[in-house]
Amino acid sequence: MGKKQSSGQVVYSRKDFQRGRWAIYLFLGIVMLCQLLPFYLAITTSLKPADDMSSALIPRTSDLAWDNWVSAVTEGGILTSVVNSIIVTVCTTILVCVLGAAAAYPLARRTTRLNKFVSAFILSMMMIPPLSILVPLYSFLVKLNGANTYWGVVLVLTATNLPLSVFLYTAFIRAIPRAIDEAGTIDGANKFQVFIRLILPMLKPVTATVVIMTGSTVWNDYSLSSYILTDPEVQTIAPRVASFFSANTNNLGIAAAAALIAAAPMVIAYLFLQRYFIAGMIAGSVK
Amino acid sequence: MVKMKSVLAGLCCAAMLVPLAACGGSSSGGTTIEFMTMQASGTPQLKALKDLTAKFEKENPDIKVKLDPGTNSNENDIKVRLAGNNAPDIWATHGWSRDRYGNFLEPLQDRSWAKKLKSIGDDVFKDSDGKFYALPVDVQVSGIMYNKTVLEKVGVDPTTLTTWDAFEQACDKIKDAGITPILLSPKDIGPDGDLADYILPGMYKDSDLKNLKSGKFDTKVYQKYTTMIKQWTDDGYFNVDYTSASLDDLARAMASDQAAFYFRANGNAQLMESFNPDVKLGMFPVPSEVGDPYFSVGEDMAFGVSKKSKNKDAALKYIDFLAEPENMKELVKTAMNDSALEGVDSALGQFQDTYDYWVNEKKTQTVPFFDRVYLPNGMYTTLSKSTDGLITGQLTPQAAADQVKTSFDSLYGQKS
Amino acid sequence: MAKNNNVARASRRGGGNPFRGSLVNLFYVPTLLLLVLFIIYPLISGIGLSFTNWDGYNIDKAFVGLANYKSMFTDGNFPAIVANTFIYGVGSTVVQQILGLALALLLNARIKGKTVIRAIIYLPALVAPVVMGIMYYFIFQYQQGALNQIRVWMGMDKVAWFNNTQFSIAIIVIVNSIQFVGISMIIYLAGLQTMDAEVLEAAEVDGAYGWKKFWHVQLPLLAPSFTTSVVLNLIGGMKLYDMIKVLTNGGPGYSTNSLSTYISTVYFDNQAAGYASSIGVFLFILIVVVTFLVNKGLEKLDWE
Repeated sequence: MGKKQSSGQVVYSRKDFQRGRWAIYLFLGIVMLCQLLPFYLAITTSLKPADDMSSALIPRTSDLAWDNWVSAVTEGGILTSVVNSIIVTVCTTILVCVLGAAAAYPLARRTTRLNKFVSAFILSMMMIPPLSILVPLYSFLVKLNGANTYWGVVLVLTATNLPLSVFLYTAFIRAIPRAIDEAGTIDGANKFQVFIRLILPMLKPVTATVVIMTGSTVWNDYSLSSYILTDPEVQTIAPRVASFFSANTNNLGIAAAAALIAAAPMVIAYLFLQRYFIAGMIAGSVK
Repeated sequence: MVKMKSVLAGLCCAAMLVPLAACGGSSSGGTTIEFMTMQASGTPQLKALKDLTAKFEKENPDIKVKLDPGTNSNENDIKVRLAGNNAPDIWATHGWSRDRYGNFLEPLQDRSWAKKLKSIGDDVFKDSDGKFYALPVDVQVSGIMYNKTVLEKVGVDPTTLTTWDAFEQACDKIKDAGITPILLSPKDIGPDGDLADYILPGMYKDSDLKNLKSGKFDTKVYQKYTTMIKQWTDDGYFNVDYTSASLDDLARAMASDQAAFYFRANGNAQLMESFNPDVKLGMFPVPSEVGDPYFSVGEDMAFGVSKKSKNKDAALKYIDFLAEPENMKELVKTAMNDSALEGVDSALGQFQDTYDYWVNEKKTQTVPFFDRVYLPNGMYTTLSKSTDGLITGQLTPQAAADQVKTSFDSLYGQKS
Repeated sequence: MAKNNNVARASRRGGGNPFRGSLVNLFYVPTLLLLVLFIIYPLISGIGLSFTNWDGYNIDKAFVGLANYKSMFTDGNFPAIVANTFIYGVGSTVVQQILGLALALLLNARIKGKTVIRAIIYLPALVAPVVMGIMYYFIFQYQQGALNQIRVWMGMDKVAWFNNTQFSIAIIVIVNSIQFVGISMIIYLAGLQTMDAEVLEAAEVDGAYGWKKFWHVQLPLLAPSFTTSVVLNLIGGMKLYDMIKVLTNGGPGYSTNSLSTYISTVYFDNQAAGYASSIGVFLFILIVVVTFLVNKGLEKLDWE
């Protein structure tokens, strides 16, 4: 463990660290165990035949019920809904990032009384309980012929996810020194150009955060999507998985398999995006 | 960065193209009707409907039927659709075709199959002028479900359980044998609500029922029920994991002979049989304080057609198709209840023998489901929640009855 | 560069630069438009419903004035449910800050396999809370649950984990915190990584190590991350819905309900959509007030 550090990395000394190394690994191990245990239980549940009443902790392995997975795929039409979810999630996420970053720029840089109010207003939109708007929103969409359409659900979810995106972008842009804008203005660029050429490229890490947070919220959205999309042909994955958990009969084996299939694309997207999260941040540009 | 951009661009293009393709596919002429089935994916009920629908579409190539699978919030889903003025063409009414959905549904008493209708608690299903609003598949006949193996083991003869005293003695015996006497859980509103719904008819004299119908709620009468449940709680009749057990957990306990009684519809036995195909179950009528034991009956699986449907004719054609005996048979099979139309065999599965004994031999009386007739629409949750409060010690029998009265008064006022 | 010079010349001449001054505010107009259409307009209709006795689906409804707002004061369940809402909000926020910050500090250091560890910790936040709730239920289940299974192996009796209200609330807070701790973690990680390495090195040269360095150098620099994370967790916790629905469904009785789950029960099960709407308005105002008070308090920490 040398002292060589990449830029932006917090420097810990050897002294700091090696004392508590085993305690640190123990702590991390326990946290990871907490995070993985539910997934392990979901996997064993999905492979349990219905008449296996043993604990999910140590399942019997003699007759794994792969047919739960087969049923999840064939009976629930889950693949169609994965495609639908990809369409809805990609479109919504792009809109949320573009509109959110643009909206955040004036809110972070021009802190006039009006803009402070607009900031607070947008933030307060995050605090509305979904049920308070559900029925009027649904009626409104029906009037627009937007029920059971991709654009209907994309616009609604863009609206509900924008506040978080604006909030994160605003906080992040505030942390970028104004010196950068000023340098740009001295070079003669207008605000629009400063935003596009100087600020936007620096937003990569926060964009990765917004993408993964918006993406997973949209991908998992149930409370609004389940009402807007009732037609199995356009329905997204979360309502579809819910169709395995009905009031009277829940076949948890199939449901667990469906839930795992639903989670997989998000996990893959996360792994792909992870390196953009934190790496590289402001490093090059500030200096 | 370049790589990420091109990936994003690619995804965007794909996203733009797919909706176009989807539009092209679905607009191929003919009518499409939407049917909100309220049956979960992968259940025998939905499978039966899918098979019948395929058959229907084959006979009627110009009509396509879209089946929406159910969720665990079926009743919320349909309420939002109605509120949004966007009802599906057909939906499952599950017990509420007249009182909740009557304003929205096409009356069906003039259909060709209507005269074959058996009596299913007509004062809940039909209007005073004989109109009704759904095609019923089965009549739910509910008593107390029991595990035959357990009762045999502890030496209780279920035919003797005709009074609550006898029932409680049986519970003591079962408890002493280390088995849970009664299964119950508040996590889904069903079990606690059904407990109240099944027991209440036996607590109300005719004069008390008349009072209820005219909007007078007497907490004294209701307290007969709450006091009994309180006693059961104190005696430890309910399962240990009462608060958190899911319906799955309850079914599993019954399937593995760890519990004796369950106050729920026979249809729940399907789940138990999936856990243990050899589980042996029966049913007996609910004891009464004011008369003879009884079974509760009412609408169960039933389908109504939206009054405002743009494809009403096609929807009615589909309903008529389902009503044909050979098709009805397939649906009844999945319900574990009596059939609702004459000429279709009942299919109570393993409850058939005990049902036949009580109904044919003992001529057991039937009463309609209590909340549907005597309580205003919307009370079921209060029945469930107050029972739960009672069992978890948050409410006294008096307070639980008061809670029900408050809800009764406000909902009854809303109705008139 | 050439372009820049042209623009510079243009603006020196005072020529029509469209993005000068308050015109930059145009950037947020599309966002406001979407919010007004799809959130504000429905919200106002929803507020309108709170003055009616609507049942949630029938056509007819009558104006009842402030009756629904008055019922909140006579509703015996209400005080406990408001208290629960605060416990879920504050409890989740506290647990997530402590755990999230600790994890961020550890995973910012040189640790083997930290990319994998970060991914694993974030994993549950990627899954729908409803689904995650069911997975957590497999842990706390009475008959086959993982915890009770372990207790049986250790020769102890099974425990019905949700029989006690306080215990249930604690479990909900912990489970909710654990699921979303990854979000706090990445917010803090982002904050730590934006710190200038030179500042920290300078601090070490000055002899600031360990706690001292953390307390006097890193923590003040983390103030913006702290604000972000606290606000998000507070809002999320006070709006908590799915986890409660899946784990206890508000029971025993009404005792573990949050305002969100109570709204749903009142709206759909009790068919009192008017009353539910008024509770919705109350919850909205409550969160707005709490969040802005907290935000005001935290602003003092900010270190711009």
